[in-house]
Amino acid sequence: MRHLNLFYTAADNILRHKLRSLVVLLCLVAILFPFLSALAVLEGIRQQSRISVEEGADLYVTMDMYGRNGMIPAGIAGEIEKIDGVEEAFPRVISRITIEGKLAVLLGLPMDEMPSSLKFIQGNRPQPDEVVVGRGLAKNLGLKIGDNLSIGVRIYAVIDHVPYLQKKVYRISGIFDSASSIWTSDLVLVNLEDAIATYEMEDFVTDIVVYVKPGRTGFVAEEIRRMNAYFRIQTKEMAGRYVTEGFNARGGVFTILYTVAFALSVPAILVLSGFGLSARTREIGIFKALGWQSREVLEMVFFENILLALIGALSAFLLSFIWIKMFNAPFIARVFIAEIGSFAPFDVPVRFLPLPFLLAFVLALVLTLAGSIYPTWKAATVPPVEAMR
Amino acid sequence: MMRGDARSGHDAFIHCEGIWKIFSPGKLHEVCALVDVTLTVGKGSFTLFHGPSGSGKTTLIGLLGTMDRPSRGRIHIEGRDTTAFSDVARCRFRRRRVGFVFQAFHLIEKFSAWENVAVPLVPLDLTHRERRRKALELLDRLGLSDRADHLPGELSGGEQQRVAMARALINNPDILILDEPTSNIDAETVASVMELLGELKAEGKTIIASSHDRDLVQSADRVFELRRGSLFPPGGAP
Repeated sequence: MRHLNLFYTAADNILRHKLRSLVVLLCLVAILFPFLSALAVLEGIRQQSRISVEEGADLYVTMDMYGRNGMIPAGIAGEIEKIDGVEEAFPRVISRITIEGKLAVLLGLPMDEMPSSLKFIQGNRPQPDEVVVGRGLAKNLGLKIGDNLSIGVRIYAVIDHVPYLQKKVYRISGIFDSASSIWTSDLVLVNLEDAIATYEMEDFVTDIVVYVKPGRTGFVAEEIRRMNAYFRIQTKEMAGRYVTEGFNARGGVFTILYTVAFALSVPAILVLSGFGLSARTREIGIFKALGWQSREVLEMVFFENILLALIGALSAFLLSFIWIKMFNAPFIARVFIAEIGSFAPFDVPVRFLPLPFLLAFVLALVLTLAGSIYPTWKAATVPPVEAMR
Repeated sequence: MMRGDARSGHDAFIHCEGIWKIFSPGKLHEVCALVDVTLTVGKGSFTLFHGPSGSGKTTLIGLLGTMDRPSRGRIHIEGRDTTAFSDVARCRFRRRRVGFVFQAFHLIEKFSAWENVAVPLVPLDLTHRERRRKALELLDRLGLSDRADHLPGELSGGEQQRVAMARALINNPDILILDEPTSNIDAETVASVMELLGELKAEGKTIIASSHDRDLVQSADRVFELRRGSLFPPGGAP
C-alpha cells in the first residue's frame, strides 16, 4: 500500500507542478519524436525491401563490362532455361530515366512475364507503345490514362557541342499499385521490345532473370558461370544482403547523428530538470522532517520519472504516428530514401514495432533520472533543516 | 545549578548532555550555535526555550526532535541515544514519536490543507480514504474542516498554523515540538493555540517550544533562557 501511496503522490506531483512537467515533457518529445519516427520509417522501408527481394527472382545474370554490370544478350535466357533446375529465365531491361526532371525507373519485361502481383487501379496492362506507371509517379506528375509520356534517353545528334535527345512517346494504358509503395512510386513498366527499342540496343538487355527450383540455386549459378566466365551472377541472398547492409549503413549514420543529438540533450534536460529545484529541495526537506525516509523520497521521485518518461514516450509515439500517417513523414523519410524531397511523393512505408517504443521509454527514463536523481538524493541526505532553508 | 545545566524535577524523558552544535566547523564563517547544553525534560511536561533571535533556540529544538545531529554531546530519549541513530532510524523516530510545527509552518504550497496534514501518512500502509479521514478529523478538531481543500496560499496565517499543528499531530506523537508557535499569528489565534497546547498537555504529550511570547512563558512548566548558544534556567546569571 505504501508503494501505491508514493506512486499516487508522484502522479499528483506531476499534475501539481504543471509547468515543470510540461517543460520536461516537451523536451522529451523533442528528443524522442525524431527517434521513433525514423525507426518506424526505417523498419517500414526495410520490410518492403525484404518483401521485394523475397518476391524477386532467385538469380540475376549480367555481363562483366569494365568491371561493372554490363548488357547481356537477350538470347542467353533461352540457354539458361535449359539448365537442369531452372524453372524459368527471361530477359529484362531496367534503367533510370528522367521524366519532367524527376528521376524514375523504367522496367521492360516480356508481355507474359508482367508480375501477377500488380494491381491495376486504372486501365490495363501495356500493349506495344504503351506504358503503365506506378501510383506515386502518376500522382506526383498528375498523369492519367491516355496521357502521352515522353522518355528522353538517346542522344541522336550533337550540333555545335549541344546534344539533342531523342524522345520516344508512349501512351499511358494503366496505373498500378503494389504491396510496396516505394516500388510503385517511380516505376514505368513497358514491354521488353519497347524498352529495347527505346535504348536502341537490339538483342541486348540489362539482365536475365532466373527462377530456380528449391535447393538448386547453387548448382544453377555454377552452371551459368561455366557457360561464360564473364557472366556476373547475383543471388537472392546477395540482394538481401545489399539491402540489409544499405539500411544498416543509413541506420548507422542516423544512429550516430542521433547519439550526438542525444548527448547534447542530456545537459539541456539536466538544466530543465533543475527548473524549480530550490522549491523541490525545500519540499524534500519537509518530507524528511515529517519522517519520510530518503529511500521513500527517492522512490516517489523515481515514480515521477517513470510516469514522465512513459507520458513522454507515448506523446512522442503519438506525434510520430500522426506525423507519418497523416502528413506522410515530411523531412524524415528523405533520410532513408534516396532522391526524394522533404515531401515524399508516395505513401512512406512505416512499421511501428514495440522495441523502439521500449527503447524510447528507457531513453526518456535515463534522461529524467539523470536530471533528478542526484539533486533529490542530495536534498534527501542532508539534515531536513538544511534542505528546508 | 551550573551554567547551561538545567535538570528538572520530572522523570528524565529526554536527557541532553554536553550538547554543542557548530555550523561550518573550521571555516571562516564558523558559527557555534549551542555551547555545552545539558538539560532534562520530563515526560508530559511543557518546556519552553526563551531567548533573543540567533540564541540557538531553533537549533536546540531541532536537535531534540532528531532533525539534526549535535557536533558533540549526547541526547537520550527514554534512555535511547538518538545521536547514535542512523538516518533511517531518525526518520522512523520522527515519524512515530515527534510532531513538528515550524516557525514558517513549511506547508507545501501545491498541497491542499488536508493533503498537507496527511503528508506524514503517505509512506504508511493507509489508504487514501483513511488518510483523508484522519486529516479531516484533525482539521475538524482545529476548526478548519471548511478549509480542508484550500491551498496554503488561500489560508490566513492563523489557519496555516493550525494546518501545521494538525500535521504535527497526525501520527499521534508523544513529543510535540513547536518553533515560535505564536510569532506569526494574531492575539485571538494565540489564545486558541494556548488552549490547544493545554489540551495536548492534558493528553500526556511532552511539549517543547521556543518562543519570545510572555503568555507562552507563563503557560510552560519550565522555561529555559538561551543566550548565545548557552542555556540558563529562568533568572540564571549570564
